Amino acid sequence: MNKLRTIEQNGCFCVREKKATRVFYLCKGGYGKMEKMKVLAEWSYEPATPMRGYSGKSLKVNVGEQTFEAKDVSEDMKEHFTGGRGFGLKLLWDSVKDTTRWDDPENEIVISGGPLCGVTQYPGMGKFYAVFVSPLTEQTYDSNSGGHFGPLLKFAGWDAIEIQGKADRDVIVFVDADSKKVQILESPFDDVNSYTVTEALHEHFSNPDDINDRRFVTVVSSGKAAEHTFWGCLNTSFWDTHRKVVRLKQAGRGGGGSILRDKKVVAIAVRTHDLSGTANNPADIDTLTKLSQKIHKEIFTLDSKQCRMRTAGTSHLNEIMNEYHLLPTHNYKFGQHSEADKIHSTVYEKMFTQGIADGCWYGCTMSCAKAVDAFELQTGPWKGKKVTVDGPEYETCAGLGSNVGVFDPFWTTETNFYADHYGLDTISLGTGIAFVCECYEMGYLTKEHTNGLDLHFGSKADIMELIHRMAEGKDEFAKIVGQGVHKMKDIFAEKFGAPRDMMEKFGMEGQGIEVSEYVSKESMAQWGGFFLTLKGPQHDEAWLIFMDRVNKQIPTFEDKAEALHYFPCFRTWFSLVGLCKLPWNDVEPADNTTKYPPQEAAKVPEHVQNYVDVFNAVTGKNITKEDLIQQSERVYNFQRVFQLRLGKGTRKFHNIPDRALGPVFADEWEARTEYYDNELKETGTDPAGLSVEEKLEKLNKARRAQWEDLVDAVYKRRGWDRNGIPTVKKLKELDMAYPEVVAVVEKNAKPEDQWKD
Amino acid sequence: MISVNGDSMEWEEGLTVRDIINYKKYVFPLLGVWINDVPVSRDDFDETTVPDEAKVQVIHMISGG
Repeated sequence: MNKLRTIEQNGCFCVREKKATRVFYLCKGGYGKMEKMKVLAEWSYEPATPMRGYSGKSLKVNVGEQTFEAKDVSEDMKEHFTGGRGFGLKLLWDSVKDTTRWDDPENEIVISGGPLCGVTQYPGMGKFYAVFVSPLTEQTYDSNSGGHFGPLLKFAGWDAIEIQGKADRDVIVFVDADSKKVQILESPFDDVNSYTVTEALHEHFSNPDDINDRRFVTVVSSGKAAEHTFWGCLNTSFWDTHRKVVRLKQAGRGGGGSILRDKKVVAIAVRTHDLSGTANNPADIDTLTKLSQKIHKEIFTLDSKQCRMRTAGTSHLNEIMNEYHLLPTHNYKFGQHSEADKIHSTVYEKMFTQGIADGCWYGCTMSCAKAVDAFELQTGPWKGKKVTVDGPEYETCAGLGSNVGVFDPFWTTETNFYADHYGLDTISLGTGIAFVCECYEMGYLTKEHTNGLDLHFGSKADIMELIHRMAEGKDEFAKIVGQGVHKMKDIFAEKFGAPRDMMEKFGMEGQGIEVSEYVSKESMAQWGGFFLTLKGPQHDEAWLIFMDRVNKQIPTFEDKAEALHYFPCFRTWFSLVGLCKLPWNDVEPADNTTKYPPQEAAKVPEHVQNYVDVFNAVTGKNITKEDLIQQSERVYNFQRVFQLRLGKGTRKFHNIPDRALGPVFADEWEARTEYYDNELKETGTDPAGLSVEEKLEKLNKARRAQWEDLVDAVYKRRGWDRNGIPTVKKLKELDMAYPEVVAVVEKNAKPEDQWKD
Repeated sequence: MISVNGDSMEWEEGLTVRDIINYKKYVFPLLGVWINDVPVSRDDFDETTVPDEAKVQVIHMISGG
């Protein structure tokens, strides 16, 4: 301890190795040496005190020009963009050009939590949303994360932070409310992987005499693989006071980590000791407390009978998805597998340490941030070390499990750890490798192309090796894979002679990003839930499979369109105010289904009203549940116009691969012959006497026609024209007809695309 | 004969809500059940019998995500 204190007092950086724990610092100059954290630029500020959920200020740091700027958050911005993702999009809009691409210096990573972010009374209120122009989709992307960064950023005085520019060397941005300074520091790290950087910074920026002082620090970082792929995630840390380790949560999707590393930012760190249950200064703490008591009681009494989030986390979905033919297996070919019992949630439940408060923000009794402790790594640079692994969550169990043909929870846990450490999104990684495996099995790829790797489904050792190669950045094939399915299709065709038309059928991506881990081919509404989204097939807009396919609550195109209006808007609201969606409907009041009719019960009305009341209690406003949807609809349409401004955002970019619509190959049909024969009958074709190939072709043709009908119905309901562009009338209705927004619409909209009726 | 989420299903004397859930392999834990538009409490799934000709809705309460 004395040695550490001396190091900190000297303004130097500690370089050392702790063999018994995960901590393994490697900085410039090698082990056992120290190097100063050189201050490249510094700026003083007076931290604003958050009032009613807003600090009223946003911070812009340009790491290339080494400049700092504080901006006021206007009342107009609060009214029309609310916060979080809304603020991120507004700030990004003001900072980029129409031609901006992901690696241009003016591109930004904007991080904002929203007015409810940091509430500790109600569960699930510690999320931030990162917004940027994505390397995968070449349009705006928003990605969310738990952890402590969003709340601490606000309590350090900032509703949002913009990171712009490109540094000329590796840097760390340090926002320090304690010393009232923002600094750009020269990074001392040779190893920029997340656990290395995060552990070291939590320790460095905290009081060495009190290990739990590390909870006042939080870090956003990525890793080596983010430098060599477009799948870079943003890891967000929090100090686990029970385990005494740093934990990582991820804003995984869209390639934010790749942008961070392209800017040569190793980490963004925040420190503040101004942390309390009322740091948001809510307007009505009594109401907030009262609302919260009821939901905590619900979670404590009902979770064990409902979703078991507190013991299994989201892995409780593993066997459920398998049972309903929704667990992606072998690149979404199948939705079920005979070995799925091996990844049953009860297996993971035993691996997760139980009895620890696993909330990723204070007060979250859902406690779903499960972790595997003392996990001994079997491969890679940390082989033999015992580490704490965050997760695996459902998406990782499926993506780096069944979808790549592996049913080994220990292997999945190891890939989870290294994906986090290297800064890789486990969803894109899983879906991307699943595509590679299918190409390999089809004979489009050989060991010659993969530099010796056998990439059949289930090739555990070689898939693991591919992941390590992505981080090393030396292997050309690994770098091709890391560009994502959309670009792999081009490269495999051009370089390896693979058939483009076939890969188009089973390359599971939309708008340039990989599909998240659910089989959508059985639900027409879910085609839209994935592929009629703002940013590509991610499950954070609308998951409608049960509602559509099992409950049969939305039989017509108009019903589906209504669901594809309401739920994306409702879900968008979480991203504006700083919430996790899980406490909305992964636990429900005991009387939800006896108090409300089915269509209403599906929305969990009591929890919706809770959110309205919490918003009003924090901000002092007086919104209704209808206003909540309008807040979202404003930002939803603004983002759609933003995509249009960047050259996307029209109908042709709402593409859907054949496999998302239905079976592509004979073995997929034959796995469920009776089911698919009935499906074909429902389209008006008698399957009798047809070959499987003929059936596949006819069902695909029918479903393509249904897809176009769905697109029309959804665009109409959303107030968009036939080409998917929001109308000026819609923007005016939403009070979003800013001149620069209308100008983008008027430049692109065509008279022939307007609805006649 | 009864209908379950719009699909026909054979009825037999003493058929309970739980029998339907098991037959349909509805393993999702958050289910809401209505018989002829009348809700059935989750605690009563095992004991509640379903009359012939009933319209049964077994709603999986995960809507929107």
